[in-house]
Amino acid sequence: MVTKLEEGGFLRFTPVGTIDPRTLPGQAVEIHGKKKLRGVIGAAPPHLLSAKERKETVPLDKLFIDPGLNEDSVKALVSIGDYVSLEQKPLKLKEGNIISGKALDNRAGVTALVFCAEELNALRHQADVCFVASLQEEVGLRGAMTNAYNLEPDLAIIIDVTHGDGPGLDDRSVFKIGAGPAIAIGPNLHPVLTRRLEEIAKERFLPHQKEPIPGHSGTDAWAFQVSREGIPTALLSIPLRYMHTAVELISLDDLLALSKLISYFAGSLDRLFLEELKNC
Amino acid sequence: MEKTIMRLTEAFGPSGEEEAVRTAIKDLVKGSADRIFEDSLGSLFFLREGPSPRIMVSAHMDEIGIIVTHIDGNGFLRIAPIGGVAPRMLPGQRLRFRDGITGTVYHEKIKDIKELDWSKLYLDIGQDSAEAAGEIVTIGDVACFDQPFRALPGGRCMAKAMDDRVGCAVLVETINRLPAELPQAVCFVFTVQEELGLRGAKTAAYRYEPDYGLAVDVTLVGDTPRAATMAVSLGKGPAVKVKDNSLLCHPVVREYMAETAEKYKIPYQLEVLERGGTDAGAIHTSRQGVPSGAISIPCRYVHTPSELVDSSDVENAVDLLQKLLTLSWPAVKE
Amino acid sequence: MLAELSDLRGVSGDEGIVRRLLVEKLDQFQSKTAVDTMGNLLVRKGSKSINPRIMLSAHMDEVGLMVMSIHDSGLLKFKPVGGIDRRVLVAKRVRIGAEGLPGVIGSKPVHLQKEGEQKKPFDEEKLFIDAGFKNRSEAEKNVQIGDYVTFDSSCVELGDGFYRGKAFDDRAGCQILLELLLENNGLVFDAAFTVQEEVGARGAAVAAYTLQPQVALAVETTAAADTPETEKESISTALGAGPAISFMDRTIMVSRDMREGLVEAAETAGVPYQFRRFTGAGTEAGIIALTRDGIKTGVVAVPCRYIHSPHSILQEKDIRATVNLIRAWLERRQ
Repeated sequence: MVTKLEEGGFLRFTPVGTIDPRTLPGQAVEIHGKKKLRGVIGAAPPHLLSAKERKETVPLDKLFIDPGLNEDSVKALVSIGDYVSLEQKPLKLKEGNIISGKALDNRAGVTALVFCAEELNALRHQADVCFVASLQEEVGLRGAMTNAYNLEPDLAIIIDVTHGDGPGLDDRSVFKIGAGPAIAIGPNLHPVLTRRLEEIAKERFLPHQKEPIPGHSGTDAWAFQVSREGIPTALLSIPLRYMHTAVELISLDDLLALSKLISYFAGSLDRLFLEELKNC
Repeated sequence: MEKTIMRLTEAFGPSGEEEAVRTAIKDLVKGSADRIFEDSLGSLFFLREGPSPRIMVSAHMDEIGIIVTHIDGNGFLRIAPIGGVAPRMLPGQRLRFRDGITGTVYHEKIKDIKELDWSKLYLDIGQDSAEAAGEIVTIGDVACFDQPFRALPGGRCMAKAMDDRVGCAVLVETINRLPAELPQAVCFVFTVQEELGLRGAKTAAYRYEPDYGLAVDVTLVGDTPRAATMAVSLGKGPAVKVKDNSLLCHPVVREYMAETAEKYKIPYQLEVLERGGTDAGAIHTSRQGVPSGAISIPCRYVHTPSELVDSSDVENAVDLLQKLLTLSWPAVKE
Repeated sequence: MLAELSDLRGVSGDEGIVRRLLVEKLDQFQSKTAVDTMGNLLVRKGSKSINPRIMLSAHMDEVGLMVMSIHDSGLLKFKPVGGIDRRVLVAKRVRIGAEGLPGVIGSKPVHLQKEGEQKKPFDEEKLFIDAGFKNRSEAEKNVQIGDYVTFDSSCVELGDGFYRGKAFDDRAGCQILLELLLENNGLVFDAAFTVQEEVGARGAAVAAYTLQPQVALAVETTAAADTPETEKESISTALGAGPAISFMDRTIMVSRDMREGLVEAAETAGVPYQFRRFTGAGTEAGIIALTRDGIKTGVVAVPCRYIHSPHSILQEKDIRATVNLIRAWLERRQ
């Protein structure tokens, strides 16, 4: 978000959500002012930096956005509080069904909901299913808090992304791309729900992985679980590499497997299962 | 207005012990309310009935302070923070307890200011034994900065607890100037324990069930020598908040505030605060969600004993709040 | 009873076995017990209705570990569930999964260490549980990722009324609630045996929302630091000095009248008590206090050395005194 207009038409900004400042220099951005503008996150050129400075991370408060316009144009078109997003179109890589782009966290999840809704058209289901594209998860699960209170569902399945594998990463916390969606287990998730999701994945030969989470899942599931008198909650995640950058990467196969899993699950729900949920 | 700010800032009220502030506010409010009540945490409500939508306007009564955790054999007190008090703010400062007992803070021998943390600080109330000290304070007693209100030439003034007694003053003045008839229901809430995590606002919003929330609090400025980047300055009008760490202000509320300020030629600024939060953060996630915003009073040296504001910003904030409440808020969508 | 309760293996999210034992012991309350979707056990004692309605809470869960991944070598990688100082993990025996398979958290023997290595604690990422499996497939036959792991210790009486064991936090609290429920004391209150306190006071939020008390008391254990290496002024509580009454922790500012009510009950009933002279760390009290439109909440805790480690130590007489304090406090509110 734009925090200040500087001399020369440059913009200072603050992150909305968590961003590693090291991924920003040289990043193309879109500025959502009175009209959509494009720019780049600039930093001092290496030629002009001391040897010491070149070795350090440029902190967020020394970065700026260059809209490439005259100061007067910037003043007329951009205000404090305007949003800035990463500029990146999604791209399919050559092998496998792999996609890279910005905001796959969590547009991939929302896409899975859309596919699931389509698949449910073909299935008969007893349960009322409410698909929610919620807000402001990245800044504190805020939409989830109000949605959970508002909808009072009997149970909730949260779709999000989780960390994909890669060198140098803590292998207690990462998942293979292409090995299927990760079903989260742990105190934040209802054991009867997670067991049922695993059963269905096995019955339907859907690839899946298990994601143990010892505490806060870092997702909307945390807010849903303790709303009002409590909501049985489950979490399904698409493994994703390079989270919170413009080069996030997922496997479309994982996304499709996830949406199939939720549709079969939703299709299988009945009153008997609701009773089972009462036994934790 | 300055008298009100003085009365409120000098009142004793660290988070959890806001009694004296409640009393001062009840004294200062001359305008009418259909119902005046307190909730179980101690937040004070002035409610005016009316048609929908219901607007909740809040300012917090509590200030940062310290709490006594230990009295040693020589009469020195050990202390812990209430809210965001930085240890380096304390050596040589005077603190005051509810009944007027005062003392000063200092620290054990250290090599470097970087070593200064709460375990090295102590409060000296001039007693030389645990018995003597125990006669006048007990473990669990709380204290605030001991600093009087001062008006500066030109209209600026400084005091401890401008955060957020100046917000309370804005609410008091607004209540006192409101006409008998308003287009919608309003509840003014003077909340408790904001400094400990927006606690009073959470339960107050649940109780009142507003359709819109508006907090009045202080915000930082960027107009002091080589200050951290911040586009808000003293004397340029109250700030319409866009974002802080506790909320992204609802665009409907934000636009209504900016349009109203422009229409009535009230100077205002836009504020993005990179850290910190306000009551609106707790109000907006209450129940099924409450579109909320905030009016911020630009303030220098926040969380020090000499918080400094410009009275013109405060006056303009009262004007703006008054206009906002006497006009119709956008109808709530079903 | 303390041994029976604390020897059970119930890490946050896996409290079933603790709950089942409590349900068995509370058989006479059958029609007045309920288990909610999170697993909280709610019990209503007494049929008279009193005002204010009171809730006592104690959490059933203990800190532990979770198996995160299985290495090719058959070693298991883990993460803590709840806050565990990683320095107490090394060289300890643990029990894995529902069957309680034994394993050890080993470390590089001192003979093979380099100069200066001992100065830094073991990196948590580099610690493993060794259950003696020769390779991944043998491990996978016996354990699963997501399995809960507990410390392998059992409760023993040391003498002089001191006990050593695991999970005194908060099975001591559960014992206290159980005794007050089973006594023929004619008292009226709701008891909540909650889940998942150690991962963020999760169960308590839901229990308070459901029971809607006006007043609540969290019954906990708290860190006693009456050991060498702790400065006198930093001693939070001491063993043998009775239940610790909190005035503040990271989640709650206990109101003065709540504190005074507990002190008054202790003094008139002749029960020894102390103050918890520490304002950090959290309890369920905070989240209970902010439920719905607010609940007046306090905390009473049994002092306990080395909480969140495999072997804690407490004194039976502190548990006795805590039961007596809470009984006296309840009696004055019937």
